[in-house]
Amino acid sequence: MATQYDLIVIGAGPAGLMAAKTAAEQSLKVVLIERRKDITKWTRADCMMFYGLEGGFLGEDLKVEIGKVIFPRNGFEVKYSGGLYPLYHWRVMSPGGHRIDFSGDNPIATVFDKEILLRDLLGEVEKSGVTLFSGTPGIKAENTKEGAKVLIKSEGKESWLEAKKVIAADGVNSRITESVGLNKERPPMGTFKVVQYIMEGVENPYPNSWVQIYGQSISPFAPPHFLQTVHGESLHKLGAIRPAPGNPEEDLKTVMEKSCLSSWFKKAKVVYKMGVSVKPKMPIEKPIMGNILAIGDAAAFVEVENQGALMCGYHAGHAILKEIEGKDGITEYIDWWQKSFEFNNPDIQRIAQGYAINPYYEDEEIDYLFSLVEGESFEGTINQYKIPKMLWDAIFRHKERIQRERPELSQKIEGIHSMTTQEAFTIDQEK
Amino acid sequence: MIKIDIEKCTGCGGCIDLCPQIAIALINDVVTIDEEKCNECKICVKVCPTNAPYEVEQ
Repeated sequence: MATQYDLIVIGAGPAGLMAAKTAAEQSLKVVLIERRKDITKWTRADCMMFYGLEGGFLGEDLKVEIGKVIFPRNGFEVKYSGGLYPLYHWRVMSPGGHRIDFSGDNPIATVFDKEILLRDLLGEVEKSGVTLFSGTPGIKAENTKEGAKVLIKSEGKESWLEAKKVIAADGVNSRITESVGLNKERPPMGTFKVVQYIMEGVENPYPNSWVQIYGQSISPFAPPHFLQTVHGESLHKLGAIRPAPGNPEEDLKTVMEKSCLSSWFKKAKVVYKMGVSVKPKMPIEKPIMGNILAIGDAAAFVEVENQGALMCGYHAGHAILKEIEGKDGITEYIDWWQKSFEFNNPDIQRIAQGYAINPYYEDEEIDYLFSLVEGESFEGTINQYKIPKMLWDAIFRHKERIQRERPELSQKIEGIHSMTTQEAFTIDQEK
Repeated sequence: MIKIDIEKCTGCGGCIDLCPQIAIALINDVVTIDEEKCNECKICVKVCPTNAPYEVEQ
C-alpha cells in the first residue's frame, strides 16, 4: 500500500516546526501533528534566550539580527520578527550576597519572545504546504513493513496515520521514544517541577543580566534564576525548580521575601505563571529506531534549547529527504547530533557538579567558596554546561587555601565531585 | 476522583506526559482527565508544578 505521506512529524515546538518546514520545502509530503490547538500560546516554562553568542556554543556562532536568527556554520536562518533584549552578564550569588560575574563586552545571550518565534515558524510551515493537525496528540508509534505509523487521537477518536518516515519532536517527556523502545537504556533521574513567574513592579539593579541565587535556605535543589523579559523593565521572570513532589513556588516566595534579593520584590506582582514537569534521562546516543527518528528534547538530556531545537529540525528535515531519495541521511544526522551537543560529551559529569551545590553544601560553605573568587574576572558566557566547570575551576585555584583553612570542606568537595551525573540528580526526592 | 483546578492549571502538559494511564488530554487546550481511564494513582498530583489536580470524595 502506498502511504499518503512521506513524513509525519509529532510535536509543533521549534524542533518539529523546523523539521516539517525543511522537509516540505524540499517537496516532501509532510503532516505535522500537535496536541495543542493554539500552537503559539506559550504556556510551558522554558528558556527564553538565544545564547552562547560569544561563539562556539553547540558548534555554532549564532547571530541574532532584527528579523532573523542566523546559523552561519549550519548554513541556514530562521525568521524572527519579535523583540530582543541583550544580556551581558551571568551573575551567580551566594545566599549571603557574594557575587561572581561572567561578563562580556558583547552580548552573551539575547532574550526573545517565544510566542513570536513560534508564530513566525508556523507561518513558514503553512507556506511550505505542510498538512497541520492541531488538537491531535501522537500517542505511540510503530515501524511497519514500508515505513512507520503513529496512533493519533482526534475529536475523541483514535486512528493510525502512516508515512515512510516519522520524526518524534514531542519533547523531553516524549511518549514516542518510550513507545518505540528508545528509552530502554535511559533510567529516569526523577521528576522535576519548574515554576516561572512573570512579574511586574520589580526593582532590578542588574539590567542585562541573568541572575542566579544559590543556597539551601533559598532552595533545597537548585538556584532560582531571574532576568528581565523582552517586554522591557515592566516585566521580569523569576523561576525555580524542585524534585517532585516538592513545591518550587516555595523557593520563589523565599527569594521574594527572605533572601538578599528581597528588596527588589517589595512592589512586585505576579501577572502570569508558567510551569513544567520533566523526567530527565541521559541522552539517546543513536536516536533512531527503524524509520522513526527522535530529535530535540525527545532525544536529549533535558533540553537542547530553542536554537538547538531549530538545528535538530533543520538537519533532521534534510536527513529524511536523503533517506527517501535512497541515500544515507541518518548516519550523518547522528554524527552531527553526537558532536554538537555538550550533553553527548563524556564530560557531561561536570554539569552535575554545577547542580550539586544546594543539596550538598551549607549556606555558610557556599558563602565561603564564593567569597574566595568574588571580584575575579571571568569570560562572559551563559552556557549552562560551561559555567559549572568555570565556577569550580576558579574555586579550585584556591585549593591550597581551602585545604588549609577548611580541611573538612575540602574533603567534602572531593567526595561530591566523584559522583556521576546519575547520582547527583538522584538526590533525596522527598525533600 | 481526581479533578483539575483550572484556575491553578498553567496548561503546561506535564501531567499529560507523565500519566501512566494516558488518561489526561487537552480538550480544546484545557487539561482534562478521562474518568474512565483514571485509576487514581495520583501521579498527576505529585508532578504538577502548580498543584492544580486535587482529589475529591465520590
